[in-house]
Amino acid sequence: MSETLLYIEDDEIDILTLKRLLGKSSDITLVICKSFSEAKSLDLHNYDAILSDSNLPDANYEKLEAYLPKDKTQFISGSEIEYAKVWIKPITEDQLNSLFQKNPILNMQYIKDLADGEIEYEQEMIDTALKVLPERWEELKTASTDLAALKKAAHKTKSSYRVCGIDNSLIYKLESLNDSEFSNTQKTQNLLLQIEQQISSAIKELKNLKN
Amino acid sequence: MLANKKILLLEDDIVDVMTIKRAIKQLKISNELIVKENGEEGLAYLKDLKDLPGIIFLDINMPKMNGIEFLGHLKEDKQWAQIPVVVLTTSKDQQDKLATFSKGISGYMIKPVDYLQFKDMIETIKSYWDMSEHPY
Repeated sequence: MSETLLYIEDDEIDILTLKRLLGKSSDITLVICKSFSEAKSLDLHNYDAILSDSNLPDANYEKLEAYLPKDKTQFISGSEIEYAKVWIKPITEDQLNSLFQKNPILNMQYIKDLADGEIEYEQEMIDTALKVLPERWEELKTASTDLAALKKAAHKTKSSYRVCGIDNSLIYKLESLNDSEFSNTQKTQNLLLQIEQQISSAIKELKNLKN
Repeated sequence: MLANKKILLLEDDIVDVMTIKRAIKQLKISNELIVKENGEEGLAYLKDLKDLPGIIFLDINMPKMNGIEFLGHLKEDKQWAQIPVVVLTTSKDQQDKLATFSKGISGYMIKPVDYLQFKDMIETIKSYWDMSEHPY
């Protein structure tokens, strides 16, 4: 089923950039809206996601942020806004895809429980996860030809997975490989490939939580 | 009883260290937490220490000297052997359980997937060792 994206943007070049990115995806219907007053005339329930410039001729970030639904709006800006989570132009393909991500890799409940409402701590945990996950992947990759080392690396990865709420069934499979399964190189490589994709998606989601 | 004795944590994973520190803070446990990254560092810390920790939280999979090797050294020392050791791990491996229990651990805890359950677990361990008589 097609997803509908509302893009609130007055800059023609930025609109063209997004259209070019969307050219690769036939699953997203794009609706352009060039001002805040025009956006106010629309029924925002009709859109699956809203991407909005943070500064329009007839509305600044504060005004837009107060009006647009928080659960599906992502702001984008030409420069950083100190107090707001905005993406910096130009939008990337990964960011665009994340707008419609229905099955996130991450489950932030563990980190939210840890932080207990303390935003700074939540960010600190996200920073730590962003540092640790690539390290874990490197360890898995390095250990990929040695079963004992691979199992050890898989075991170590479980803590990071647990905290980030990532489904750990692939890691368990890797950790419980026996000699004959491990000698099936294709099987091991497939598992590692899936884990690489899982970690890579988790990193993207974590980065989006920061931006 | 545990009273104000130090808690020694042997854990090399930064995420797990942060989680345990956080649980201890949220539970308002005032015992000082000493963190060492592997068995070697743990033994070096204990060497010549007069005020022994009240409890050791031990991970199994660590570099240089793992938890099981550490336990071997710990239990060879007459004084250190008295320190209660609770294994905190993600390993459900039966061999790990047998190897650590046979070396005299006081408990083997598998870290739950849910943080609130993990926090409850730490609170239970603390309550138990607050109530239990201590060997020294």
